[in-house]
Amino acid sequence: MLRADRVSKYFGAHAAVRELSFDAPAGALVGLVGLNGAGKTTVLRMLVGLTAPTSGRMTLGGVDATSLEARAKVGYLPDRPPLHDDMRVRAFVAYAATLRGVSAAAADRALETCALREVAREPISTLSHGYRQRVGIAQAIVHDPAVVVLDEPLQGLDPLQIAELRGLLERMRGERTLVLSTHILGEIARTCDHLLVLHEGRVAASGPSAEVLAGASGFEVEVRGPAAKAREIIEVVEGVASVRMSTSASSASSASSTSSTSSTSSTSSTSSTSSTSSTSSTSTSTSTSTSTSTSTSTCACASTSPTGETQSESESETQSESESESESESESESESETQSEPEPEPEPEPEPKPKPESEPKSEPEPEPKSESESESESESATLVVTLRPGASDGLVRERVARALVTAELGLRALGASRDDELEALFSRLRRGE
Amino acid sequence: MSATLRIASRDLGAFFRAPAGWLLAALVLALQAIQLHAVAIGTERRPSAAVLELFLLNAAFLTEVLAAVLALRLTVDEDHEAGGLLLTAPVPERALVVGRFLGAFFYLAIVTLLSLHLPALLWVHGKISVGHVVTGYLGVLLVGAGALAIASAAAAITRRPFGAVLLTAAILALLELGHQLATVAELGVRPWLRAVAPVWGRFTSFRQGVLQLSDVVFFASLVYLGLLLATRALATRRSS
Repeated sequence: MLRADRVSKYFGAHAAVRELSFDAPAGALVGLVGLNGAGKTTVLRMLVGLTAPTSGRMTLGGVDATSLEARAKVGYLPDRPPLHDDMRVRAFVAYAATLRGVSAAAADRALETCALREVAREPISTLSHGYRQRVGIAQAIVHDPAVVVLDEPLQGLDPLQIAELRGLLERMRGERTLVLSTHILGEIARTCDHLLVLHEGRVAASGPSAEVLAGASGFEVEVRGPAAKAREIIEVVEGVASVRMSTSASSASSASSTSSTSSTSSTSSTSSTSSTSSTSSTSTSTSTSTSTSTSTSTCACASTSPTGETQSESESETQSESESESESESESESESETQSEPEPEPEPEPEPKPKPESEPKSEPEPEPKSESESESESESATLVVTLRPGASDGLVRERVARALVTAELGLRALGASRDDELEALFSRLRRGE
Repeated sequence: MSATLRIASRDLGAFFRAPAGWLLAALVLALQAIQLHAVAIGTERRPSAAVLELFLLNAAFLTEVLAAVLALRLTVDEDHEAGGLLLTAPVPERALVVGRFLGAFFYLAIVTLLSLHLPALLWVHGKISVGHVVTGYLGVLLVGAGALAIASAAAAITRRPFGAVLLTAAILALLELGHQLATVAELGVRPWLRAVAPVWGRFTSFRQGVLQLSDVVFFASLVYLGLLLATRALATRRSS
C-alpha cells in the first residue's frame, strides 16, 4: 500500500531523510520512531503529499504521493491538529468530508468512531487537548481513507487520553493502513505491527515490532551512588538480561569520584558535568535509546486507565505486585534509614548546598549525612540495561526504579523526553505513591 | 458545490463568526462615514458629483487597506489554522487559492456595499446619478479585488500572516508611489507610471462615473496574475 523507494529529502545542504526505503502492507499499523530531528515528520509530510522527495519515489497504492489521486486515499493528522477553532465539531468534520468529496453525512460515522458525539455541537475552541486530538483524527478518517497518517498523536495527552487513543487505534487497525510517529516507544510497541526506527534521516532498524524490539530493547540509567552496588541490584531485577557500564559514562564517573575527594563544592559541579557528558552519549547510541519506552506513561496508564482492552494481564499482575512491593519498600526504607543514621560524632555543619536540578522539588529535605556518605552519593555512573526477549520495557524500568529507590540510590534516566518522566516516577515512588 | 465555493463559504462564515470580523467591518464603515463628512464634504462648497468623486477615491484607499489586513487570513500553510486540512485534501492548488480569495473578497464586498447608505445620502440631498454611484462602487470593488489578489500572492510567498500583510502593504505603497512619481516624471515615462498605478491611474475613470473596458481588463488581469502567482508559489512549495 505504502512504498518508499530510496527517498531522500534535502533542505538546502541539510539532508532530512536519506535513502529511505520501506514497504507497508495494507492494513498494517506502522510506527515511525526516532529522536527529535530524526526525520519522522519529513517522512510523514512526504507520505501525505505535502512535500515531494528530492530524489526517490514515495507512492500510495501505486500512485505518486503528491498526486490528487493519492491525496484522496490518505487522511492526515499533523502534530498540531488542523482545526478551525471558530467552527463547531460536527460542522468542521462535515466540512472536511465535503472537501474530500464525500457527503457531510459521513461526519456522523467519524464522530461515532472517535467518540465525539457528546461534543458534536460544541465550538472547537472550547475543547480540551484530548478532544481536539480526536477531532483531528475524525477529520483524517472522515472520508474512509486507505491510509491514515498520524504525527505524534500521543503528544500532550494525559495517560488516560493515551489509553483512549490507543483504543481508538485498535478499533481502526485492520480496516486501513495506519502510520504513526512517536517518541514514546512503549506505546508504539504495544500498538504497532511494524516499526521503522529513524536516526538522522536514515533507517536504523525496521521490521515487525517484536523483531525490532527484541534486537534493541533496553535502556540506560544514570545512577548516583556506587556503580557496582547499582549493577548488582539491577541484574537481579526480573526481565533484565544484562547490565554493563556505559563506556562514555564510566570516564565521567571516574572524573566525578576523583574530584569529589578534593572538595565538596566541586562535587556538585562535577556531577552536573557527568550528567551532560552522559546525555551526549545517549545521542550516539541511538538504536538503543530510541527503542526504549517510558515507564512513566506505562505505569500511569496501568494505574489510571480503567479500560481493560488496553491493559495487559502482565501489567495488572505487576500492578498488584507493585502494590505489595511498595509496602515492603516502605519497610525496607525505614530499615535503611535506621542503618544510615549519622554517627554520634560531631557532624560538619552542612552548608546550604545548591540543589541539583534533577532532584525532585517536592522531595523532603534530606537528612544531613556524613562526609563519606556524601562522597559515595556524588559518584555517578551510567549503566546500560538490556532486556530479556519479550520483557516489557516499561515494566522493567519501573522495577529497576523501585529496586534502586529501595536501595536508596539516586537514579536519573537519560534522553531528553524520558528524563523528566522517569524523574517524575522516581519522585512519586519516593513519596510512596 | 465545488471545493472552491466550499472553502470560500467557510472562510466567509469565519469572518462573521469571530468578533474580529465584526469589529473590522464596523471600523471600516466608521472611517468611511468620517471621511465623507470630514474630507469629501468638508467645509468647502463643492458640487455633489465632486463630493462623490472624492468619497469614492478615499473609499478605494480604505478598501486597499482592508485588503492588506485581510492578507492575514489568506495564508495556506500547514502550520497555520487548518492549512494542513486544505493542503492534504484532494483539491488542486488553484481551488485552494481561489477559494480563500473569494471568501475574503465576499467579506470585503459586503463591508464595502454596507457603506452604500453614504452616497445614498448624497443622492437624497444633492444631485448625483445612480450610474455614477454604481460605476464608482464597481471601481472600488475592483480595486479591492486587485489588492486582495496581491495579498494572496504575498501570503503564498511569505507563508506567514504578518509577513503577507507587510508585503501586500509594501507592494500597494509602491504602486501608489508610481502614481506620485508620474506627476513629476518626464513626459516619456509618465503614461507608463500612471498605467501601473491602479488606484490613481486606473481608478480615475470609475470615480468620475465613466466605465472603461480597458480599466476593467486591467483590474481583471491584476487579479488573475496575483492568483496565478499564488497558485504557482503553493505548487512550487509542494514540489520543492
